[in-house]
Amino acid sequence: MLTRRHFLSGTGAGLFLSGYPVHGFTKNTIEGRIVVVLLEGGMDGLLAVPPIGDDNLFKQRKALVASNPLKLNPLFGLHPNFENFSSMLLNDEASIIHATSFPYVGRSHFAGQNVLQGGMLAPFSIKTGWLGRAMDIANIAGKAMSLETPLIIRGANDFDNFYPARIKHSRLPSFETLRLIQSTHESNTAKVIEKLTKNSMKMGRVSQARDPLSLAAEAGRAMREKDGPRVAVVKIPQFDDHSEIGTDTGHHPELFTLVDRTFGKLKSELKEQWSNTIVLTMTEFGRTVKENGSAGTDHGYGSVGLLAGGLINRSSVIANWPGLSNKDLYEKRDLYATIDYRSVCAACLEAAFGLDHDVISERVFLDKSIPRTYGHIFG
Amino acid sequence: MNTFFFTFSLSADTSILCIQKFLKKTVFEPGPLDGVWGKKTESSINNLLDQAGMLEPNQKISELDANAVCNLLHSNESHKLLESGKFKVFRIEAD
Repeated sequence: MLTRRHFLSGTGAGLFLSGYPVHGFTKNTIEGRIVVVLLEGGMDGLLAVPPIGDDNLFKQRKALVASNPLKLNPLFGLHPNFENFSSMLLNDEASIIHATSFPYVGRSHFAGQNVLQGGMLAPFSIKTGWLGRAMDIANIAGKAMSLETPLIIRGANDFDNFYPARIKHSRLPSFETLRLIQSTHESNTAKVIEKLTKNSMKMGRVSQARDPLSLAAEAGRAMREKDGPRVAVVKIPQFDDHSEIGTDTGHHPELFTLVDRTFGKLKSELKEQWSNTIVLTMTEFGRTVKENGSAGTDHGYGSVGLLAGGLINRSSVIANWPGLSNKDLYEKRDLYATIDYRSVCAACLEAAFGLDHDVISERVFLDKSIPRTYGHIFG
Repeated sequence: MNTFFFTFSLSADTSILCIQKFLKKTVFEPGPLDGVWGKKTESSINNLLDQAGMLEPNQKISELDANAVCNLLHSNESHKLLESGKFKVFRIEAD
């Protein structure tokens, strides 16, 4: 039985590629590419994109405001570690969504990641992921499966095909789990498990690299190919900075550099296919507005989404800014989320796969009330 | 027989209130609904129209345009304006 703690420590950086065109499957091959960068642990959106034009920022978290943010416009700045991303902003190929989140306020990593990937507001309520369902609807074939395939790209037909049948509760076993099981079994069973693991790795195209930059480079190279995958999911862990989060330097700013270089690598490896691509970050929640006494921040609500790619025509920060005074905060502690991030995911699906908004709303997110932000982001 | 045609124009105050009430349905706050053309009303209506792509590059709406704008808000462009007005788009002004 995989405990929550093992789940959190066992997941390192990862890359998953999916959606390889199968010749003869459909007439029209979709040319749009989507890369989801999963930031696990809860990214501090106020540290990444400080609303420097809001006086309350300095009143509420003085010690956590970068001293030299890049000034994007009168209200918003950008942490200086986002060098590549800032160039993209100035080049009309990136945008920022602020004060945004999936409408999930549970502040749990485990449930939050499930909401983010499944696309449903109730955690653990669905076996498929929003990207997987979108790929099903868009008739994007060639789903690569692996033992670690994340929920987000699972579609309706992708179940239990490659998991060793004898392992129960095997929905999300990691390689580490399998090695553990392997080592405790009789030698014959262990051999079988090893063979299955090896085969899955070959078929499932799971990368052996563990650092996000190598993974991003691999993703970019693969997605540049005409018959390459249309979907990539890059996981970057360790955003859960409850203490010593850092301000100009430190752990969270180092993660910003990592995210920034990931964007840069994707663009440089995708080359001409960058113009058909949209990259978007997702994180399960933001972090508390006020610092917590350990020079860190705790689980919050609203955060930022960073988008980049040639599918964007005009850069902007999109936000219905809720304010940072105590009365503006969610439960008196968190930045409110005034934009439903599902609408951003929906807009990216519309841009990359050409799906209709209403279809995405009803059949991907199973919710008719998702607003359309396509015009604001891609217009 | 002479036929007299009367043109009824909305008084300036009513037009301003019309604009303020419309802005209230968007994220561009007009300030109080007082029928008075203040800074907030002016900046909000300009921002909304600019964001919806209905302003020329250096065009700016002033109080003198209130009637025309109120008519626009009742035209079939109103849906496009309401859609655009659901989210605020801040342009990148760095260089």
